[in-house]
This record gives sequence, structure tokens and C-alpha cells, in this order.
Amino acid sequence: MLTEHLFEQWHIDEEALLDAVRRDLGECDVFLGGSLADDLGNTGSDIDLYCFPDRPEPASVGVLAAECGGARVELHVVGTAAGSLIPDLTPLVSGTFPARPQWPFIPEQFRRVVHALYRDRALVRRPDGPAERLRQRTGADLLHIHNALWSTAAVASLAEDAATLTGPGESWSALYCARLAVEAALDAALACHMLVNPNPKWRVPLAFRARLLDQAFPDPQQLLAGLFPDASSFDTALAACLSATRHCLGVVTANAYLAGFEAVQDAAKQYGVDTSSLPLWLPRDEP
Amino acid sequence: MGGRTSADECGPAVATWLCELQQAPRLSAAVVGGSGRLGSWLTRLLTSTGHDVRVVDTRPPSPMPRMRFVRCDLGGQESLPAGLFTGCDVVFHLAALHGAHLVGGADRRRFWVVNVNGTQTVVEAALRDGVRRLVLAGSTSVYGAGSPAGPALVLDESSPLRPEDIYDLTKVAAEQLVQRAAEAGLEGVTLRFGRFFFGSQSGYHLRKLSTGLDVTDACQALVRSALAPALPRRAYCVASDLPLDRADRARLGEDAVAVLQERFPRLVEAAQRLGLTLPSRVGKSVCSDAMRQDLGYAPERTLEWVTDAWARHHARVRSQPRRTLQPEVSPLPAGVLSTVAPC
Repeated sequence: MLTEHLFEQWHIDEEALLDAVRRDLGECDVFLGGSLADDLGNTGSDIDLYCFPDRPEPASVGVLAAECGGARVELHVVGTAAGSLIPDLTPLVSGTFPARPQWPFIPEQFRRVVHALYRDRALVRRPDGPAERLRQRTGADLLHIHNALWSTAAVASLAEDAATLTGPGESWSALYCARLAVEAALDAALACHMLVNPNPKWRVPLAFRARLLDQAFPDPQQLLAGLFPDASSFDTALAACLSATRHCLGVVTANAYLAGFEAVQDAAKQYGVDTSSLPLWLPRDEP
Repeated sequence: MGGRTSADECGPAVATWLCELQQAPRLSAAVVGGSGRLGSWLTRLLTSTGHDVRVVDTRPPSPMPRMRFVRCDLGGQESLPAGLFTGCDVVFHLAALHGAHLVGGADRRRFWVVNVNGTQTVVEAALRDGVRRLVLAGSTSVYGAGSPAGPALVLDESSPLRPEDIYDLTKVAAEQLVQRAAEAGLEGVTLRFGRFFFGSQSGYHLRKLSTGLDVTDACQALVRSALAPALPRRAYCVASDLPLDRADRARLGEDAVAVLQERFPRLVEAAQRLGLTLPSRVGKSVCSDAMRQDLGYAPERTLEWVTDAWARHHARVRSQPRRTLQPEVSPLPAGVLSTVAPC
């Protein structure tokens, strides 16, 4: 549901809400985060506000909860010291397609903060405020590249794991790896469309949205068969997982920027992705 | 194919690069973003010197001979029409979202879609259609902010990239795509342009101490990149910069007026006569030396050129004491264009 509509439904007085935030935290930049930042919320959703106060704060992300209108508001207070704990993502573009060991990694507790900056739905934003400084220092606008790369790397690792699970009684573990690979490949494909909500429960709704934007995206039926494989037949379930993973990786390799990373090319090769989708300047297998 | 105009026909008033453009074998060029500020000037320049241009944009430019318009939105999902660039000698890719779009409320994600995915679309179409050369409009903003105090940062092609905002990040990524395309045989070059300003403001010209670029000089850089037999580098910095050495450029960060007094005293005098305050320092200075050396770039609209314009203005004001004109300098290369007769 569109967040603007939800705010109307909840009778949220934005100015009153921000006044309350200022009373608690003083002057601060305020960004919408969570599901509402992606227009994925519903009437049962919380309002996640990421607040970047001027005053020095501890490095942690603190949470204050309050009722406002018809909704529960969670204030996530991001201390100025958080900037030193979130890695700078700019090397992902300012180098020359760095190899995996050089990829910056965002710790779990800060992914939602970076997502809020990435989605950029500010209720209060000052041009040189702490939020913009944090965005600049961390390269938060590159979150989709970060997610796509790490998810693709996970897909490759899961394939390697599955390949070792060949012993008696290990086939279900292999299938589990294959199913996880679908999730990771889907995350990578979604990131290509800049759909990067950190909450995995939105993976499927975002996939439906992506399909509306891009017909090359896997169709919902194929995705669901891979994400929730029918365990009554191991072979069929495994094939469904592989098919969905392959299709998602095809979306990633069609993205010229991401396809420039060797790790992405390797993952595509590992899964036998059709190289015709690769950008014209990259090496491709003979048909 | 031989040249279409002899050097004598060009006449002495015509800049060398324009003369070369007029004498060059007839070019077929595509200008992606040809309805924008720079694109429309480039298109007018090319068509008025007898070259053929395909403009690719979301809205048409003013009608002109030898120009064909193809409507296309690089922010859309569809690829460019097959054969769009077939027969083109060069593609100028100038379409991008800029900082002004961000200020205007453009979604940050659109920057990636237009500036990076859009470049991918153009590069793939150029490769598919057998284009020899692609010139990408880059930006010197990929180097980040200048020094806050002390010596100015001297920016050239070897300076480390420090992208700061979404515009910078997407420009760097687009450059990388063009560089990768070279592996498939497309001669790709990025011109890292300085910042454009409106020429009628005196402050604009003073920016030329730092990163300022006039549209005429940007056009010259584009033309030279298209006509050069070979491109020794993959990226060039382009500004309407004064020919200062590195030491003097760095000193601009400590005492800009002293440097100008030593090297360009006429400029300081002209500014004083007009009551203009020269900046005491600048944080960065974009150096176009590589472009000058490799491709013969010679910016015309540097502060020296402005000095002459200011002097003319001063003389005019003295003869008309009741008028209080701002020292205006036309931003338009109309005078330049009028000296070039279409072949």
C-alpha cells in the first residue's frame, strides 16, 4: 500500500510527529525506513523512523517506541559514531571491479540504516546534516550493488556446498542448499532493479513488483516453485530450484555493471546461465 | 574521403578546431542527449559545418538541416531501436541526470537507471551497430571536493577518484562501462567536464580558476575527441583553464590573487577596474594538459578571453556613464558559429 495513503488512514499529523521527535532528540534528520520506505506496508505495520540527531550519540542504533495516530512509531536513533562502523561502499565503483576479498560488508545491525538512506524518503533533511554526511561517507547509494554482489557470492558458495553433499542421506541437505540459493539469487536479481528491502519477508512481493517492471524477471510461478519446492519428489524439487536460480542469475548477468565483476561471471558459469544475456563485451561460451 | 573545405576558405577569424571540423570528411554522428544544453550546441555546430547528426533524446531539439531526431528514453526498459547507430562514425553520449535533477526531487534510483543502465544501453547499441568511437560526457565532480585550506588539489587524469554523491557514483560506473567496451573493439573515451555556468555572470568566469567550463570549450573537446586519429587515454579532464603549471595551480589554494598578479596581471587589473572581487583561494584546479597535449585542445574561453571582454565592457561603460551594466559575456558561441559557413 502506498505509504501516503497509510498515513492518511492512520490520521498521522506529520508536523506533530516531528515535533515529538524533536522534543525527544533535538534537531535531527528523519528518514522513513522499513517496509513503508518501499510502499510495502499495511495497516498493521509500524512506522520506522530513522533519526540522525546533531548531538553526539553512542554508536549503537537505539529504538524508542511510541503511539501516534493509529500507528506505532519506532524511532531508531542513529548515533554519529555509527559512521565509523558502517563501511564505505564507494570502492565497489571507484576501483576496477574489485575481487571479493575487497568488497565492503555491512554489519547486520546497520543494514536497515543504510536502507533508509538508500530509499531516501526524508521527513526532515538538511543538506549538510548528519544523515547526508553519513550517506556520503558510506556510499549508501550503492546498497543495491553491495547486495547484488554479496547475494551472488552466496549463490556460488551454496552451489559448492551442495556439490559436496553427495553422500547417503545428504540429498535433503543438498536440496536445502539449493533452496537457499534461490533466495540469494532472487535477492541479487531484485537488487538489479534496486529493490533492496532488508526484511526477507518482502522478497516475494518485491519479486512480483519486479516482474511488472521487467518481463525478463522470472515469473511468479517459477519463483515460487523454487522458493517453496515440492518435497514429494527430490529430483523435481531440485530442478525447480536450479531453474529459478539460473533465471535470477540471468537477470544479474544482463546488468552490465554487475557482470563486470568476475565473481558474477563465475557464478553464472557455475549454474550454466545462458551467456547470451551477458553484455556484448564480456567473454561468452561458444553455443 | 577528402576534406570538404580548404584551410584558406576557413579564413583567419575561424578557430583552428572549427577549421579542422569544417575540413574533415563528412561525419555521421549520433548525439544522445542532443536536446540538452551541451547536446543542442554540439548538434548545431556539427550540422552547421556540414556533418550529419542523429539526435537521440526524449524531446526534439529545434529543427535544423542534416539533423534527424529519434525519440528515446534511456530511463525506460526498452533497448534502442536496431540500427539506430548504423553508419555512425561516432556516438556522443551526453544524456544524464545531474545534481540539478537531485535538487529538483528526482529519485536517486533514477540516477542509476539513466546514468549507468542508460550508458549500458548506448554502449551495447554502439557495439551492435559497429560504431568505431564513443565519447562519454563525464564529470570532474568524480574527484570530490577540493581542499578546505592550503594548496589547491591539482586534478588531472591520474588523481584518485573520490565520488561523493549519487551523480558522482553513477558517472564513475558509466566510465567503467565505456572502458570495458574497449575490450570489444569500441574506442571509448570519457571527457571529465568541469562545471558549466551561465556566461552572463561574472562569478561564472571566476570559477574557471577552479573547474569552470564554457560550452564552447566543451564542444571543442568533443569535436577533437571525434576527429583525433587515435585516443591515447581512456579519460581526459576538460576545463576552460588557464595554462598554469602544477605549482601555480597548487598555489591558487593559498593566494589566488598573487598567482594571477604574477601570471596574468591584465586580468587582475580588469577585475579591479570593474570592482570585481577575485577569490582569495580555490580548493581545486582542473588541469586540461593531457587533452592539450594529446588532442590539441586549446580552450578559448579562459579568463584571458574574459579579460578582453571585460576591457571592452569597461570601455563601453566609460562612454555611457549613466548605464550600470553588469560585465556580461555572451554564453553563446553564436559568434563562433557565424564565422563558419555551412559547406
